[in-house]
Amino acid sequence: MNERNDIYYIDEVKNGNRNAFGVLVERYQDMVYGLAYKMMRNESTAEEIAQESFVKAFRSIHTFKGSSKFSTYLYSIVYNTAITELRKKKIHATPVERIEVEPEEEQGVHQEFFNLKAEERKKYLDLAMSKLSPEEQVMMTMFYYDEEPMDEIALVVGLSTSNVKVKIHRSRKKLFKELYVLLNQEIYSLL
Amino acid sequence: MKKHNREEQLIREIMKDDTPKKAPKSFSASVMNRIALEPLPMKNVYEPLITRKGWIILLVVLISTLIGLFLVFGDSQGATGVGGMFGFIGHGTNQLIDVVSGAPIGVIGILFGLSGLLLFDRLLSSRAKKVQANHTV
Repeated sequence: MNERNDIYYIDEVKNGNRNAFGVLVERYQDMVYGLAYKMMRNESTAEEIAQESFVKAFRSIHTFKGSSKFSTYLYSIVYNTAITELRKKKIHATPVERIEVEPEEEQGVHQEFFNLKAEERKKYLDLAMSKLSPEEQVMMTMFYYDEEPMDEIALVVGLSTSNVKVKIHRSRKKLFKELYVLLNQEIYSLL
Repeated sequence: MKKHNREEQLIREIMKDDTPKKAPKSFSASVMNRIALEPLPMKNVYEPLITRKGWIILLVVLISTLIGLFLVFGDSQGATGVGGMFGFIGHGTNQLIDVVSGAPIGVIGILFGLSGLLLFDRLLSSRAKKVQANHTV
């Protein structure tokens, strides 16, 4: 039923049909809530941030020119709203210890990871991701899970494309280190 | 490069498990309840009274009028070289000030008020453009 593209519904809202915004909410609610949760790590705060982001998007929809995707526009609103909230609460990511993971060990991390059951894999990945900064988490999810191009990610986090590329590379290393530590802890706890 | 590509491939496979948390069932309804209380978004925040083209035309008319007045009131008799040109401009300016100072105070007030309003309009339109640029992705 909702086969029409985002621009159609955005134009409808601009022309005064506020119900058309409901289609966009339905379409992007999981993406917006998921991102808010990833950054806030708390269900009620994530819901508040996600709702606030949709209201902000509605208020400023007349400024959306369509030069980027609507999802990028939404992502940037959620990201900025969450960052403002995190600054208010002064929440910082835990720094990752400096552990060098050798290429063979990276392969080992990968094998051990896929030996786990799906729900365990999700648990460990969530734990490892939570050690990254909110900015790094957003970039990693957008690039590897949503498969967004780097220039769209740059628009969301307000950095240059080359800077995003460097940061994703560093975040990837950090994630490997975190998974390596977590999976080793798992092995030691079994012994 | 080979190592980088392999690492990239490994993390890409691992990240496939990074499924986002789903929104609660009542989420969409809650958002739409809040949207119902919001005023409808305005399509155009502010349209300037005089467009850029209008300002150019106004400027051309003003400069032409000033040149015309200088030609009418300026005393060019015996004016040669740079000194003569300055004398011509000086004389023209004096004549122009005499004409303006002779004008009724109401007319001067209207002209000042109109200029002030036009500048205010220009200021509002540039502010609206800045706000729009900040919100546009």
